[in-house]
Amino acid sequence: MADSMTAQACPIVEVTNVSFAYDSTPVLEDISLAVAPGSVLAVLGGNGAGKSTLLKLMLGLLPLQSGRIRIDGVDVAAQPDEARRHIAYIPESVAVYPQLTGLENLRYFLELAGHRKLEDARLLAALEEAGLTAADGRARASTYSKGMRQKLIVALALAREVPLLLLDEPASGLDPVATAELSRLIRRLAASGVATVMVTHDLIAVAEVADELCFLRAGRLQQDRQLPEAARQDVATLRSLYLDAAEQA
Amino acid sequence: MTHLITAVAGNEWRILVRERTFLPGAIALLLLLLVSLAITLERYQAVHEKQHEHTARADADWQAQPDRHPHRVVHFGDYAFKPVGPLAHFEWGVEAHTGQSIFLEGHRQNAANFSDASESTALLYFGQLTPAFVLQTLLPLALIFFGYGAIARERESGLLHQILAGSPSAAPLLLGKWLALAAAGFAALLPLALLALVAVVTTPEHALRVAMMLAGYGVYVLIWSGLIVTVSGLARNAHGALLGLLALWIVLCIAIPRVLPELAGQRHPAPTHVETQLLAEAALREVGDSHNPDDPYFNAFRTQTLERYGVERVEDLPINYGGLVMAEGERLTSEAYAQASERVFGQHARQNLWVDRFAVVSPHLALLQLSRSAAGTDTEHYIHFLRASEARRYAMVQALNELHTYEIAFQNDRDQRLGAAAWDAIPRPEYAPPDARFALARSSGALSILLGWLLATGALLSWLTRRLERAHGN
Amino acid sequence: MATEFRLLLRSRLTLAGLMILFAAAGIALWLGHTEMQRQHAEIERAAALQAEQRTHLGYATQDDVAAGSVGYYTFHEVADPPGPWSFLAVGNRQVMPPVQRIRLLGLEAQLYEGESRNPERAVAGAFDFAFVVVFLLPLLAIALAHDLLPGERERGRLGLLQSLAQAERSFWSQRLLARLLLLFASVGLPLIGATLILQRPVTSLLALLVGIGLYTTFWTALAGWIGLRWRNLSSTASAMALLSIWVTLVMIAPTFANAALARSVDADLGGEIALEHRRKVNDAWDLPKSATFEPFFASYPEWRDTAPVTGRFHWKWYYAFHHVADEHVAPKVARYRDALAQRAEATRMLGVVLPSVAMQNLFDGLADNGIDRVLAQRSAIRAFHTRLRHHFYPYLFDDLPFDHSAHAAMPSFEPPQRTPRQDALAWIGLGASGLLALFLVVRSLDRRVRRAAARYALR
Repeated sequence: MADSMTAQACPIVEVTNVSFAYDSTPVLEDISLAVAPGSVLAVLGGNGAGKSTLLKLMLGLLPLQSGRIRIDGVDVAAQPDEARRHIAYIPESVAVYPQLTGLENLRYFLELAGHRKLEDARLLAALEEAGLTAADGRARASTYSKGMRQKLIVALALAREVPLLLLDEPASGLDPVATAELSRLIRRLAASGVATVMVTHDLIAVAEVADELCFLRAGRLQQDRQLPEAARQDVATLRSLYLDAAEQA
Repeated sequence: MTHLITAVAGNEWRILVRERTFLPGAIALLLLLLVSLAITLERYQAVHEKQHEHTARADADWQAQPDRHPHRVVHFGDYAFKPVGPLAHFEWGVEAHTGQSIFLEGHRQNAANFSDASESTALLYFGQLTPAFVLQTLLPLALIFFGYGAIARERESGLLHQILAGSPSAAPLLLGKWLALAAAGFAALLPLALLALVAVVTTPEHALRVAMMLAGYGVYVLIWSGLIVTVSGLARNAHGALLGLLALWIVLCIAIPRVLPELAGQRHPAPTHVETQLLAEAALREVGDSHNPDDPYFNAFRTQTLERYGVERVEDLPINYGGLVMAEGERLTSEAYAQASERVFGQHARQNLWVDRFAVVSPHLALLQLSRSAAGTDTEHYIHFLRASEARRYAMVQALNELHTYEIAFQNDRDQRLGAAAWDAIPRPEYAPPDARFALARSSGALSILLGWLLATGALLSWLTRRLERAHGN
Repeated sequence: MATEFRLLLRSRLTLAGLMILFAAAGIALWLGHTEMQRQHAEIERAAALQAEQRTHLGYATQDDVAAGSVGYYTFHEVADPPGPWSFLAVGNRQVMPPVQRIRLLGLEAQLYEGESRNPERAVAGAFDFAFVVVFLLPLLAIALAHDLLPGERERGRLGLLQSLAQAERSFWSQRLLARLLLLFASVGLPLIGATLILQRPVTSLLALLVGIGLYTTFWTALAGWIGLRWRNLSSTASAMALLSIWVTLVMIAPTFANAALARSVDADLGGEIALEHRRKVNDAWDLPKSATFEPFFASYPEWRDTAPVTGRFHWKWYYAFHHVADEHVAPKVARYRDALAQRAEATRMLGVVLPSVAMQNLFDGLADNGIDRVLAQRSAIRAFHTRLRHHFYPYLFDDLPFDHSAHAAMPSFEPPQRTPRQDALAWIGLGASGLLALFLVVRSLDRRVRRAAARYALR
């Protein structure tokens, strides 16, 4: 992370001319975007716009058909495993192993990601930072609420100390309090230089945290926009931006 | 209400047959039924022909005997054959393990019967592919595949709640699903029904057996369909329903039918053939030895005989004393051997009874008993054949001993012969399998266990109905 | 890896399944062992009763008795005691007699005496260790591994796992390996325990464990592969596909092959042999003595010049025609034996393509209760019968009294040695199927990565 901090010019995410089709149905067409360290990009789009496909491509879980994706300088198509090492991914519906405790889940996921010999203190610190107590960490995950599960995965992202956070519909199913907590966490991470990409159709979640916005409609990306300050307070402005983008596509 | 149920059943049936698994499953099941039927028919034909050939050969040999001493005929012996009943096409039962013929001769009861089992390789231990096996074991599996999602999948998709919230009772839905699934099972029974029809038309005396069998299989299908719908309704999701049903199938159809007979064998051990023989021979030694001139039993027998005819020496008897001794010896040995084999039969019957009682835990086991008993291919029918054969053997040997006593002179006994015509008078009755009443006790016991399961299944379903109604706010 | 075990063992269903398999293996071993103990006891009881009968006959202490009477009344028990591993797979022991009786009369009429076992018990099939491994182990492998990937997807964890896992191949392989090891331990530990308690040779145990390991690998890898290969398959579809494969491999294919084998290989000669033998013996009584002695002396010219039989009956004539009847059916006997051997061979061949049959064959080879043992026992009995005849012939043909030393010198039957037979075809079948399943798993894991790399190179 220290490297990316010094190389301000070098973006964490670089998507260049990416197109993707399932069989012969085009899903993404000539997508290009870049996210700098400490920046939060929100990709907005309706159902079936290709948001999940874009995420999977960034994670290297789908084969790249054309274009190029680099994560923290690593080519995803060439070294998908290495690229994933730099990404913390928080899926839409967060599921963990109910038969393990929170700490055990965390340790297991970290081991899967290649981290070895992790002291409890560091894990507990990550849990605490994500908003879970030590007692929560020692309880079986089967007793967790959805919000607690999400915090567990956020703790995982924190503990991994990666330069990129990928969020899939981060606010889905969360109550407003939990959504606000999540937003605060994202902002804190951004302040420490972590780049964030979130895909969502939720306008309000975007308003709170995003530095930049882009709209994905029918596989095409509208040019990047700075989010007008006014829109942060005004849902109506936001909605008109969204509809405007839809018309252009 | 009935209209509603049939409407639901019709709809469920449409859903069922449009299921992706239905067509391949149904085709596979049908193919297996046909192949297994072809195999058993072929086997039946082969046994039938061989038996026909052997019977003809045994008859010809019997008739072609030259002039002989009757005692030679006692040792020449004869064969008894157990005809394979028409229902054996379908349910081969223990036939492969018993063989269908037995040799009858003087002085001994024969165990030299030839069974397919003694000539089989490890493959036999995987079971036998018969139509009965397909219907008893594979049909429930197919029904599970067709019906595990009956309720569970609708619960997953929220459809169940949607339907139940808008209807006054869950009963028509459950009954409809039960009937639709059972209908698929009944369709698989059609070949059996056709076969049964043929059997009833050609051999009306089998009508009762056929009826028992059809009733048993019909109830079996209803039980499984009901169990499947119940488990599907209890499971949290389709995956859980499938796994639960598969576990149930493994326990009821695979594990219990193997474990119970094994335990029964341990509980009521039967002596080996050799031990039985040796014990009978030891018992005979206690009674008397017709070959020993100083044997007290036969000395007393001689004194008695001489007194009865009022003569001093056996040479003066009006009949052949040698024949009398043979007859008395045969009576003694037959009694001893019969006692010994009855002990064995008794143990086998106890083993089977023990297993029969535990059929309560598995409808599959109850159906096995019903099916084999009704088809005439269970141990009871085999023992009936063995007893009848022993009676025939005894009658044959004693008739020959009678010839020996009255037609052969005591002097130079062994050098005399009788004309071949004499053998025609010896009784050689063909084995008549017992009528349906013989099978009734065992098969009706099994059928009542199946009916008990059906009742229990019905109770489970009505409990599930109330549970679903409660859960969905009716 | 520790967490993989924890994940499996903390699931109540998985634990219950493994415990049931463990218990079933233990029960099957115990049932098999007690069955073999019972057969040992049966053999001993028969031997004691037989000895009592011989004592009662009293020939051992008489010096002037006719050899013919001794031969007629003296039965020799020929036992087939269970081997050290017989308890694993009961096989033909369920239907074949553990002990038979043989006397000097024609052998072929005595050799095929059956056993009076309850046929309903036999038809159910034994619940032995081989059954637990061949039938039940795959079912649990399917239960544990069918939702390897589909289960994670359906529970919503797949994306997270994939985003974390450094190398997908090693991740899924570890998961499969954990399942494989637990399954293997559930049947392997009871087996090892039984081997240690019963003090059986460890080398055979190791070979068997390797075989069971391959079979477990086949099923576990196959179950995992279905979901890894077709990634959109639901866990229920995967379970159904796997259970269909199971039914085909352990129920339909072997039973079908058995039926086909029964049809194609004409082994149905046993009954005919006995029938013909009896007919030959019976006919001899009414034929001139020369009809017996001519063929007999052709085989045994050394007795040609002994005193001719002139009376109605002589023991040497009696035993000669019994032997002539044996010789008469010899070609059929050879055909029968060949047919059975051919069946056994065909079953071994089947092991190459059906892993279930290969596993059963491997057990059969070690337990040695199969058709090969039956054939070996029969030929040992035949050799014994020949020795017995040769021992009696001087006394019969030279009319020597059968004194106590002749009685003491009578041969006795020793069951044939058991040489552990390694069924190469079973090893091929198990090895090939295990490796094939492993290969499929690895390939399905590599596929996606390779496809991605290939697309990239093209560009």
